[in-house]
Amino acid sequence: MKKSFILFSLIFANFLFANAQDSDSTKEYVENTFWGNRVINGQSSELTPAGKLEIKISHRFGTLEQGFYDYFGLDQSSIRLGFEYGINDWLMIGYGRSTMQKTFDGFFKAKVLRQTSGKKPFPFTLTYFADMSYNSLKWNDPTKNDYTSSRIAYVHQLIFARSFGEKLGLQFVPTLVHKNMVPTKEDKNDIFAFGFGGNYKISEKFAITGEYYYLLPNQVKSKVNGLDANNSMSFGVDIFTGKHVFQLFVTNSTFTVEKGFITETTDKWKNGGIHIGFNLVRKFTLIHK
Amino acid sequence: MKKKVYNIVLFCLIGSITLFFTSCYYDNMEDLYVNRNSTDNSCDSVNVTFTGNISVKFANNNCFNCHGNAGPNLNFQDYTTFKDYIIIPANKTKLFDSISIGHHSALYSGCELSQLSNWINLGTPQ
Repeated sequence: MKKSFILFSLIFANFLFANAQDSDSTKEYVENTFWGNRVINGQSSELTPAGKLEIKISHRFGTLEQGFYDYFGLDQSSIRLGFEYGINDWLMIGYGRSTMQKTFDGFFKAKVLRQTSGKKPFPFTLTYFADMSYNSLKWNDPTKNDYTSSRIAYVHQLIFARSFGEKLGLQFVPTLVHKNMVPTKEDKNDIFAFGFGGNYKISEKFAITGEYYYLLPNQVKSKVNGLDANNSMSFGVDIFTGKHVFQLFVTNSTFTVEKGFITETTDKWKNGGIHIGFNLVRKFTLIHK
Repeated sequence: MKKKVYNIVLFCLIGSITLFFTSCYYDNMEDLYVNRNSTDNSCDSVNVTFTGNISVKFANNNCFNCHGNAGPNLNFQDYTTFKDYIIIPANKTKLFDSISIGHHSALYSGCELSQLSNWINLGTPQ
C-alpha cells in the first residue's frame, strides 16, 4: 500500500507539473538525452514517442570464453521480443517475452519532471519506471507446491537524467527489485541497487554508451545456478540510422529484463564472461499526433 | 479541458493497475516449504498402520488439538471414526487437498502423503 501511495503521488505530481509546464512558453524541453528508451540493458530516461509502436528485438549471445568452437558465443542466444507503445508525451507502456526463465514482462514508464532550458531552466529529467515480470518455467518438483505469486517479481526505478550540452547524457538510477520468493532466509525479498548510465554522441550517427548496476552487498546471498550474483556492466555503441536506433554492445548479463540483469547476473568480465548483444528497434506510427 | 479529462482518466487507470502490481509477498523457500523436504529417510510408505504411522503424524502436526479426544471437531484420534471418515472418497480428497497446501500448521511432504494414501489402499490397517 505504501508503494502504491508513493506511486500515486508521483503520477499526481506529474499531472500537476505537466499542466503547469504547458502554460509556460518560455521553457524549452531538453530532448534526446538518450537515443533509445534503453541505455543498454536498463531503461533510459527517454520514452517511446506518443502514438508510436516500437517492436524491439533484444539479443544476447553466449560468452566469449566459449571460444572458436561455439564461435565466441554466437551459437547460443537469449532473446526478448518486446512491444512498446507511447500513450502520450509523458507515458509509455510495454510488454515483452524473453528466453531466460521464459519470462513475461509488462511495464510502464512515466516522465515526472523534465529538464528544461530557457529563462527558467530545470536541471534534470526524472522518469519513473515500474515493471512486473512472471517466470513461466515448468514446475519440476512434485514435492513442492507451485504458487503463482512466487513466480512474480517487481521492479521500481527512479531515473534521474541530465544532458550536459548536446553530446553528453548521464543518468543515475536508484532501483528497488522485489521478489515474491527467494531461495533462503538470508536472501532479501527487497533488493536495492544503483544504476549508472551514460552516452556520448560522437557524431550525428554514432554514440558510445556505458552502463553499470551496483547491487548493494549482503542482499543476494544464495547462489544463482551455482554462481555468485555480480554487478552488471556493459559498454556499447548506438547507431542512429534516421528512423531507428541499432544498439550494439558487450555485457556480462544474459537477462534482458530488469529483475534478471540487476539481481541474477553471474558472469564476470575478468573471466571472459562477456556476451555480445544487440537491440534492434523498428518504429511504427499508429496514431499521428 | 479535454486534455485535462483525458489526464484524469489516465491517472485513474494507472492507479488501478498499480494496485494490482503491488500485491507483493515476502516468501522464501526455506520457510514456505519447511515441512515439505522429504529428507526424512525414516518415512516408510509401504508398511503403514494407524497406530504406528498415521496417528503419530497427526500428533506431530498438532492435529489432535482440534481433531482429537478433547477437540471440538471430528475425532481423528479414534481409529474407527477416522477410518469411517476417510473411506468416503469426497472426504479423502478434502483431507488431501488441505494438508498438501497446508491446513493451519499441518503441511505434508510427498512421502507422508503417499503413506496416507497407501494406508487407505491397504484397507486402513489398525
